[in-house]
Amino acid sequence: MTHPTETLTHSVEQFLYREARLLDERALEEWLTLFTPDGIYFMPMFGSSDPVREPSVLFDTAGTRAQRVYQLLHTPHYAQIPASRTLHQVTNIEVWQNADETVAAYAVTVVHEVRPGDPGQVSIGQVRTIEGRARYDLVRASDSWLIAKKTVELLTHDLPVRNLSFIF
Amino acid sequence: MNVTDFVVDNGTDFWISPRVYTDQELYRREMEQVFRTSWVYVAHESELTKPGDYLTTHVGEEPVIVSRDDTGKINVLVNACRHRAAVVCREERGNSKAFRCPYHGWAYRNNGDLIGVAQRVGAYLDGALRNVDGLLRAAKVESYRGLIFCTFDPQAPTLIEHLGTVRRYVDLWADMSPEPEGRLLPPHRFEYGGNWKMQAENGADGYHPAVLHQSAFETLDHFGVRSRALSNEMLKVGKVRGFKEGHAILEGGPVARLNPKLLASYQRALRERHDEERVQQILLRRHIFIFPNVYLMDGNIRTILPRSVDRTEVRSYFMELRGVDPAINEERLSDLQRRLGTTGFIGPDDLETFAAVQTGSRSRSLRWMVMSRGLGREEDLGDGELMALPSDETPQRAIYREWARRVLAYPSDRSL
Ligand code: FES
Ligand SMILES: [Fe+2]
Repeated sequence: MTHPTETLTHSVEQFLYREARLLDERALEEWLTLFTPDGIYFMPMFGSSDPVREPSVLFDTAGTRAQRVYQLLHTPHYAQIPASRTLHQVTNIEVWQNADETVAAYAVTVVHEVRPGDPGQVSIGQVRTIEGRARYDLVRASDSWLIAKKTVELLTHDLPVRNLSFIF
Repeated sequence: MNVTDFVVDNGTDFWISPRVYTDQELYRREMEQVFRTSWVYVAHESELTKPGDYLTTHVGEEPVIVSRDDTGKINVLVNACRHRAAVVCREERGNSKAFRCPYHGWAYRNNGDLIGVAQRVGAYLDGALRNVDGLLRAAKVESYRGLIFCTFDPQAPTLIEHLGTVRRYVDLWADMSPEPEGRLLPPHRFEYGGNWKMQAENGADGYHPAVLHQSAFETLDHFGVRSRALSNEMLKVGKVRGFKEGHAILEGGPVARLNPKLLASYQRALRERHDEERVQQILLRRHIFIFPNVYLMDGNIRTILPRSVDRTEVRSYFMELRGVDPAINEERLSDLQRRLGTTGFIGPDDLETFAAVQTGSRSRSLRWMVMSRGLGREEDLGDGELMALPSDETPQRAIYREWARRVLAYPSDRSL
């Protein structure tokens, strides 16, 4: 792995910011297009977990990712009524270029989340902060990037969490 | 506090006051009269395989260490130093011969015995520490089919008596693993802003899925996964059961949503050990609630940990079957995780509902919740087991009758 040029770093950063914005705007169908066809979204319960044999916080292939987005956008998903309002903050970005032109990017992601409504109701109107360390394995796609694998280890990966029914 | 303030059970109606979710005094009684005197599930033997293995958890709000000592025996020790109450173990899991208190250094063996008091010589009068021989411990610890339970009541009946007739269903559940016993993997963990009894009621509630989980069914149906059909099938052939000890069952539908090839291989593994009738019984999907804090489900063990009157932790441990093609466990895990995992299509909807119930329970106007569904069409199977249709509230009534007996001295003869 080598240090990338400034232009490369810049373009990866812009890509990650764009992903964050799509999630915040709930443009989830567009978000799906950021992945390669066999792209994986993995949130391990422990860093070294085997997603096939051990439990994970989330393990989505293209198929389950599309189901998740469909449930969020097109069905009465009670845990998302009202829907979470989010701010995905991406920081500490570090980009490494592999010999084969693919890129590994590390980032710290902090999501500020609130479900709008009457704060007198339990679980409504309280801003929560959920944070994790992300690793993106990216491949070139014409003028931008595609996600081959997004791995997020939550700070609370093995601890109890409340409602995680929005996309981190 | 009077039982009639919280329970109406008059033959026609069964009502529970929403204050059972909010009242601090009831919660305090539950910690004493349910979580100390009942048998309470604490761990699975597969979590403590080697001498010295331990885990820390809670029995109600009692902090405990569950440890396998050097002789292989399981101990449930109070995780509070006999000196000045510091927890002696802060790790959640590990292996150790001893627990040394971080504060002043009193040390205990993994069976709870006191090893020593730091700088003891000359510091205490003769006989001063005569009652301090080790960590306090549960009055009784017993295992059944790998499930470890304890009670702090020396007068409690045996675990077998507490299980009563639900035991035969626990056997069917444990027999899902062709080679005994299944192995638990680290849990999905949730927290919700509601009372612990909501989760107890919900796991055997066959009335809600068609409505609350419509979203998940619509999604999976849209992608060609047969889910609503399975759920409807459960409602058609399913049953609920309530037991006089407060246990409850929701059952029906096929046990594992395996593809036909894996299902055939799984059935072969079961047939090597059981006759056909029993195999069919094992393959029926069940949610078995063992009062007061554990569900044995088709893929997992779900435990309930009260944190305060309006805050609860839930843990869902995948149970890996032994003696089967590894692909069977992989498919079961992926199915369970997709449904009931932290980011599952079904589980978060249940937990969010509990938050909604907690908010509604603050109403001063709403005196009663109605749990009368199916009264009059229950079948009495004897030995305190009632059976009814899957959308009936027989499980919830069983849970609250036992709860009321323990917390509000509800007379036993009114039970069934
Ligand atoms: S509190 Fe444990 S040694 Fe003092
Ligand atoms: Fe449910």
